[in-house]
Amino acid sequence: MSKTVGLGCALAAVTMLAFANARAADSAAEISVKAAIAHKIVKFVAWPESRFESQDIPLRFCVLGDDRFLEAFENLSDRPIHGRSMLVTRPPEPSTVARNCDVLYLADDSQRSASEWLQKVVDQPVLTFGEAGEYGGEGSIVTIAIRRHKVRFSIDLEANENTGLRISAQLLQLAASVAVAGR
Amino acid sequence: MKRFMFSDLPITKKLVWIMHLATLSAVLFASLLFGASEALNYRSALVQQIATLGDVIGTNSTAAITFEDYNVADQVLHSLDANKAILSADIYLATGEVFATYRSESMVNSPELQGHTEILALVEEVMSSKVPQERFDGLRYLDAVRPIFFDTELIGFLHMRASLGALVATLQRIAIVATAVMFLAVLVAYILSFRLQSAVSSPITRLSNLMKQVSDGQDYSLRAEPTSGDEIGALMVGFNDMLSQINLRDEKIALANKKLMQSFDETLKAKEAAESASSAKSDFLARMSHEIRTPMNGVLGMTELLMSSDLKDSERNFAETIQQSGEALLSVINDILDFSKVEAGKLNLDASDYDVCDTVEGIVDLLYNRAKQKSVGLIGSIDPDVSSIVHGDANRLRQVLMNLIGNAIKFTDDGQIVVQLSQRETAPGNSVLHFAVKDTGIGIAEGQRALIFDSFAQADVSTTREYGGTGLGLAISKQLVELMGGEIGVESTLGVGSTFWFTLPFVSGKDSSRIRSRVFEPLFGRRILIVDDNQTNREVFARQLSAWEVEIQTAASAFDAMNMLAASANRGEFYDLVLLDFCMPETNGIELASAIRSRPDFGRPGMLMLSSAGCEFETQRVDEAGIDLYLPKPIRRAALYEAVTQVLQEGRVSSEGDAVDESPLPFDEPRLDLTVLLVEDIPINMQVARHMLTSIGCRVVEATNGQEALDMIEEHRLDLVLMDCQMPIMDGYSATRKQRAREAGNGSNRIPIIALTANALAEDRQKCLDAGMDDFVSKPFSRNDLVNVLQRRVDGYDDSDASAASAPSETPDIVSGRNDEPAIDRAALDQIAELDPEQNGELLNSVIDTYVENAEALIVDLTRAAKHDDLGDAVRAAHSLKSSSANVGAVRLAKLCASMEKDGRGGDISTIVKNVDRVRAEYAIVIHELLEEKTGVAA
Repeated sequence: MSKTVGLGCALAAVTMLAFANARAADSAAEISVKAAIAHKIVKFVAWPESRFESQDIPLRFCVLGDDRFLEAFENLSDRPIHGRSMLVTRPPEPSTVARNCDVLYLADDSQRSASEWLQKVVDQPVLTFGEAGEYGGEGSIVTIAIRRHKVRFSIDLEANENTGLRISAQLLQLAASVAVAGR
Repeated sequence: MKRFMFSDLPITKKLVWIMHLATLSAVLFASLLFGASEALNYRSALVQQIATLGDVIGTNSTAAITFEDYNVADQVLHSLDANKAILSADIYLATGEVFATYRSESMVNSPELQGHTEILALVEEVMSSKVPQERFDGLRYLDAVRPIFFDTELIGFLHMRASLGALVATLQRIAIVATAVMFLAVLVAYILSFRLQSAVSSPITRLSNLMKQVSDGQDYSLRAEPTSGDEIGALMVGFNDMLSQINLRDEKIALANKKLMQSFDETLKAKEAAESASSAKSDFLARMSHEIRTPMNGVLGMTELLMSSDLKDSERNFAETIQQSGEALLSVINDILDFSKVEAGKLNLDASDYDVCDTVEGIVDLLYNRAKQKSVGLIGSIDPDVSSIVHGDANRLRQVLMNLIGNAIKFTDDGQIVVQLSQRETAPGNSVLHFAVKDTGIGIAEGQRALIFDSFAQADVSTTREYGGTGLGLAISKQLVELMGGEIGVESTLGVGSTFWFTLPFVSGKDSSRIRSRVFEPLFGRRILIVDDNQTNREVFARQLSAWEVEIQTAASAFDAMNMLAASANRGEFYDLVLLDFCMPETNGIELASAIRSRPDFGRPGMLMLSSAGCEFETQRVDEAGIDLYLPKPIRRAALYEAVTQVLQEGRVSSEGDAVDESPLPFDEPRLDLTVLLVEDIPINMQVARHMLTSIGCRVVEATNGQEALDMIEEHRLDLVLMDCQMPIMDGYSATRKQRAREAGNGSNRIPIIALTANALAEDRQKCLDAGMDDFVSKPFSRNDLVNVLQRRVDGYDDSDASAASAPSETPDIVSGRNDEPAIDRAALDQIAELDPEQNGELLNSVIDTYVENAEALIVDLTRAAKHDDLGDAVRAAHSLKSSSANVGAVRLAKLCASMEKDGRGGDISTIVKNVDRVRAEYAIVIHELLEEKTGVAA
C-alpha cells in the first residue's frame, strides 16, 4: 500500500514540476492545467434548475483571455458536465454576458477589464473564475492560483451568495481558502 | 458381550429413548436452521451495510479523487473508524492505482492485506463490469469492491473488508444457547418421560408382571385391573378374559381328571381282581395238573406193566384202551397247562444254538410209529440248503411241530404226511425257516380256517366228538410261533388235505456254515436208482441225494426198476447203488433185491433197503437177497448219508446193528445191570417204578423219604438214585443237596441222582438241577422214558437240553477222566454178545473188527483236523468216535469224545486240540482190552 501511496506522491511531484516548467515556458502547460482544474471545479457546482430549459442545452463556457485558454477549454469540451455538452465561446459583450454564459473564465491577461465583466454577472447564476495574478482576481467566485508550484484554488462564498449556484461541500473542503459572506 | 438391541430394552427405557431422541433432534434441527438463517441474514445485512457505507465513502471521496488530494481521501476513509466491522478500506483510481488506504486499529500493525491477489482480481472484475462485487472468505471476512462514479464518469474504486467476527460471535452465541436449550430440553424430556411413561408403560409392566405371576404361580384366579380405555386397557380386559377361560377350563379338566382318577382306580381294582383271579386260575391249573399227574403215573405205569405180562387178547385190548385213554388225558392236561401259561404271559423262550434239521428229523422219528399205527406215512423233507445250526428255542419248536404233526396224524386216515423244512429269503440278508406239515386228511372248510387258531375252537364241534382233543393245540402253536417272531397259517381243501405252515425268523447259530458245509462231502458222479412206490418218498430221497452231487433216477415199482437197470446195462452203464423200499405192492424190496442179484449183468450195484416197522420181514432173508444194508424208516439225512457212503465204499455190511447210527441203539429188550435207589413216598408210584426197573434188569433199593435215602446211599453200593421231589420228612431237593455236600466233604464219587417230578414246568426242572440233580423224568413216565434217562446217565453223555444246565460242573470230570472207571464197560460187550443169534462170539468179533478199523481212521482224521484247526472235521470225527466207542462200551473214550464234540459244536476247538493225545492213549487201552476180549472169545 505504501508503494501505491509513494507512486501517488511521485506523480504529484511530476505534476508540480510540470506546473513550474509551464510557468517558466510562458504558461503553455499552465494554461491547460488551469483549464482542467476549472473544468473539474465546474463539475462540483450545481446550477439552479430554471437556468436550463432542457437537458439538451449545453453548458456555456465563456473564456475571456488568451486564445490558448480558449483552445485549452476546447480540448476539454468532449467531456460533458452533468450530462451536458460544453460550449466554449468568447463572451459577446458585458451587457449580455449574464444571459449567454454559465461559466465565465477570466484569464490573467484579461484582468484589467475583469471588474467590468464581473459587474454584469453579480448575483447571476454564472460561475466566475479568476486567476490570482497582479490583479488578484478580485470579485470572481473561484480563484485559481499557482503557488509554490502547486495549483490551488480558493472560493469566495460571499460573491456566490446570491448567484443561486450551489457549490459542493467537498469542493469547499478542498479549496485553499474560503471567504464566507457576511462574516 | 451381548449386542445392544433396542428391541430388547424394556418399554420404559424405550419411551425415554424415543422422547430424548425426538427432543434432541428437534432442538438440533431448530438450532441449525436458526443458525443458518442468522448467518444468511447477517451476510445480506452486512452486504447492504457495506454497500451503503461504500456509497457514502465513494460520494464523499469524489472531490478528493478528482483533485487527487489524498489527504482529504484519508480523512474521508478515516470516518470508517466509527464502524468496528470494517477492517480495511482502499481507494483505487480508475487506472487501478492505489490512491488512499485505511486500516482499522486492529489492522494497523499488519497493513498488508491477506488475499491481495483475490482483491486485485475483484477490482479488475469491477473495472470491466462497473458493477459492485462482494466476496466472502468463509466466516472470516467480506471483501466488497464498489466503483466510484462522478458525474457518470468512473473515477475510481473502493475496496472494503468487513470482519465477520460479529457473525461468528453470534453463531457461537446461538450454539451456546442451543446447547443450553438442548440440555434443558433433555432434562424436561426426561422428567416428562418419567411422568408420561407411567401412563403408558406402567400398565404394560404391571400386566407383564401379572403374567409372570400367573405363569410362575399357576394361579389363574389373578386378574388385571384395567386402568385406561386405550389399547392397553383392552389388552388387560382380553387378558382377564383369557384367564377366566383358562380358569374355567382348568376346573373342567380338574373335574374330568377326578372322574378319570375314579374310573382309573376302579379299573385298577378291577385289574387287580382280574389278575389275582388269573393268577389263582394259573395256580389252580398248575396244582390240578400236578394232582392229576400223580395218579396218572399209577394208571399208565401199571397199564404198561400189565401189557407186558401174559394177557388174554380181550384183556390186552382193555389194557390198551386204558393206556390210550390215559395218554389222551395226559395230553389234555399238558395242553391246558401250556395254554394257561401262554395266557398268563409266563411263557419264556430259552434260546440257544441247535440243529434245526436234527430237530425236525427227531420229531419225525418220534411220531413215525404213531403215524404208522394209522397206516399213514410220515416223511421228513428237508431242503438241502437249509442252514442247520440256528439260534432259538428248540423245545418250543418241537412243541409246535408235535402239535401240527400230531393234528395231521389225528385227522388223516390214510395217505401220508410230509413235513417240509425250507429256508426262504425274505429280503437280502434276511431269511425265514419255513415249516410245512402237509397231510391228506379231512381238510378244513374255508369258513372255519380263520377260527381254528382260536382257543377251544376246532373245525367243527362234531370233530371234537369224533377226534377228541382240547382244541388248544393250534392256539398254543399260534401263540408260540408269534412269540418266536414268526407267522402261522393254513391252506386246505376240504376232503383233500391241509397244509399247516409256519415261519421262524432265521437267526444263524455260531459257525453254522462251517459245520454244515463239512458234514456232507459230495459224492460226485455216483449213479443211484431210487425205487419206491410212494412218489413223495421218491422226491424226498431224490432231493436229499441230489444235494450230494449224485446222479439220480427213480422208479415207481420193481418192474420199472428192473427195466431201467436192464436198459442201463445195455448201454454199458451201471448203477452204483439201488435205494429200495421194502414195502411195495406186488414185488417187495427183498424180492426186487433178489431179482437184481440174479442178474450179474447189472454190475452188482450196492443195495440199501429201507423198511418200516409195519412191514415185517425176516432178517435172514435180507442177507440172502444180497442187500448190503437196511435201515428202518424214518431216515435222518445224516444216517442216510452215512449209509449211502458206507455202501458205496465198503459194499456189504453185515447187519443193521453195524450201521453208524445217530441215535442210541434201539433196545427191544433193554437191559441195564444197575443197582438203583428208588426214593418215592407214594406206594403205587413206588410199585410202578420198581416194576419198570426190575423189568429192565435193575436191582432196586427203596426209600420213602430223603432222610432214608441218604442212609441208603451210605449203606449200599449204588449206581444211581431215582429221587421223588416232594416227600414228607425230607424232600428230594434237600436230600440231594445234603448228598452233594457229603460227597464234597469226604471226596467220594458223585452218584447220579435223577429227579422224578410231577411238575412239568421248566422252573421245577431248573430247581432240580440247581439242587444238584443230574437229570429228571416227568411223571407219568413210560418204561422207555426211564430207560432213556438211565441210559444217558450210564453212557455218561446225553443230548437232552435240560441237562445242558448241569453240564458245566460235569465237564471237567469227564475231561480229566475217571480212572477208577473201567476203560471198557463189559455190559455193552455182553449186550452185543447177547444179540448174536448163534451165541458163538462171531458177532462180537466182527463188531470189534469194524470198530478198530473205523476208530483208527477217525483218530487219524481227528489228529489231522486238530492240527489244521479244522473244526468241522474235528467235530465230525469226535462224534463218530463217540458213537462207535459207546457201542463197544468204551465208556471213558466215549465221554472224552462227547466233551470234545460238545465244545467243538460250541465253536471251541481247544478242548479237541488239548485232548487228542489223551484220545490216543485211551484208545490204546481200549484196543488192548478189546483184543483181549476177542482173543478170549476165540479161545
